[in-house]
Amino acid sequence: MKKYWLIFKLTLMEYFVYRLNFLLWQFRNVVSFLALFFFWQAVYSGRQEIFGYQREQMLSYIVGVSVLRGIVFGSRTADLAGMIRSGDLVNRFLLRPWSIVKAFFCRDLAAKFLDIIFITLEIYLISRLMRVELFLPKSWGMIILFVIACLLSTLLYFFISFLLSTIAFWVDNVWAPRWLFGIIFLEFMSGAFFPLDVLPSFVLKIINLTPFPYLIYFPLKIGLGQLAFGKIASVLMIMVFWLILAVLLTGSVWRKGLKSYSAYGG
Amino acid sequence: MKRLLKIWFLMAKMAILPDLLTPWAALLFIIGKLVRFGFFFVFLFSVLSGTGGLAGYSREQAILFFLVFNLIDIVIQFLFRGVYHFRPLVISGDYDLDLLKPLPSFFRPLFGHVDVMDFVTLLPLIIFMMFFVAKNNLINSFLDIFLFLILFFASLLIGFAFHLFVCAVCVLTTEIDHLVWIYRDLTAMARFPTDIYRGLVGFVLTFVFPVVLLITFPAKGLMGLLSFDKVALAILVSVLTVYLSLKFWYWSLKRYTSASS
Repeated sequence: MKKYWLIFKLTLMEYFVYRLNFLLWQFRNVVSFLALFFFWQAVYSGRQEIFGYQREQMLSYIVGVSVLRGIVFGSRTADLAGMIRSGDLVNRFLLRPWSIVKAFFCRDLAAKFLDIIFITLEIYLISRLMRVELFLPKSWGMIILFVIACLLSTLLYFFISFLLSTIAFWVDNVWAPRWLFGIIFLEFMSGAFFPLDVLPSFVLKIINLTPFPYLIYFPLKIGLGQLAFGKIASVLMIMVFWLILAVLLTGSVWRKGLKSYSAYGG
Repeated sequence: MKRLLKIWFLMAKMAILPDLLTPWAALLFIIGKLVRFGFFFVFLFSVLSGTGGLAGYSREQAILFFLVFNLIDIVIQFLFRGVYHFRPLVISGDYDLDLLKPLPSFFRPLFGHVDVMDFVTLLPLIIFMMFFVAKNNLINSFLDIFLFLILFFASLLIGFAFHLFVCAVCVLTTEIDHLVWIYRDLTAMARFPTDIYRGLVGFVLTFVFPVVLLITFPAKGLMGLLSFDKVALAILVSVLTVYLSLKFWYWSLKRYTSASS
């Protein structure tokens, strides 16, 4: 356990090597939040409800997106692809007495830890300045279900991102598939820009067939109290299904990748 | 000028060659750019169909802001892509070699790389934009097109000035990546009409980092919603930012230490 704690601490230290970059990264979160905040403020101008969302619910959704992005998407698994290509994977992981999945999850936890602290602080200050009235879960049961959904989505994202990085075993240009599936599809189809139910229903039905909406959209819908208990149960079951599939697929692809790995960069 | 254009074409050709080595990756990038555009378009169309407009603009006008944002963003990314490749040059000390060449010192940092994928997505965007504008009668006269072209050129100057400023910061601090992304995030705020931003944010976007001039003014000019004094202001500010940026660039260059070479 001590070695994983060390990985956690080392990852935190890595973040503070380039402090200006770190601060600018945090500033980017604020800019993204403000763009969405003002957009929805303008949309709700003279209205109280649109697409089934009251003003407070929509603003709570975008505040929730900012926080959940830190919890779910805060990750260092993208580094794995570079390590595979450069050969660093051998020295830094394969020859050392730790599980690569656990080690990378500890790195992720460090990233999430910092993200959550800074994002929560930033969003709290902005929300106070802008006088946003947040819509919070009304019962402890809802809070517990929301937390369970967040945990499942965090694990699901970890394995999806890990899986995308393992493409590096076979191709030189890993950035292209990561960018398309891990950023473009992920950001839009997860609901990280807007609640997916503002889209036409046939588009929503297609998106619901993928694992992406279970990362941000559904956890937030649960938190906002917009899903009935039966729907929540089915959402959680689908999340568990995607998680099991992602774990099995990651294990299988990882083993196949290692067999064909020549570590020529190392 | 002719010599610089020839060198730019040579650099562009060299930048394209690695992309051709992995054509499937280039294809994924192009698909990604089109998908991103498509998703945003569907989102805006859905929301604005529900509300009928945004901040006093009709649905079609608000979408034109989004199209103009894409056009200016892609052209600036296409022209000044070199900034993303500048940091390794400074850190490795290889930038020394460029300083010895008979070229403007900012030529390689700004124009040293071309993203051909941007160029590929530019053509369908321009065709779609022309179709959209014509179908929805968003232009009143040819004068609007002329004004748009002037304001578009002013936007390119502001884009040039900002990217040069970022390169100067890189020379001084070697930290550049997130600064470029902040520029991208701030300009992305102009996907929507910037009239929606109020208070301090509106002030910053107008006077500190002129996103309003960069994206909103050309869009308004195209729709005939901009007065001549604002056009003059845009030209004045663009020339001023280029001047100040060049001053800062040469000042930072005097502090270039060539540490790694």
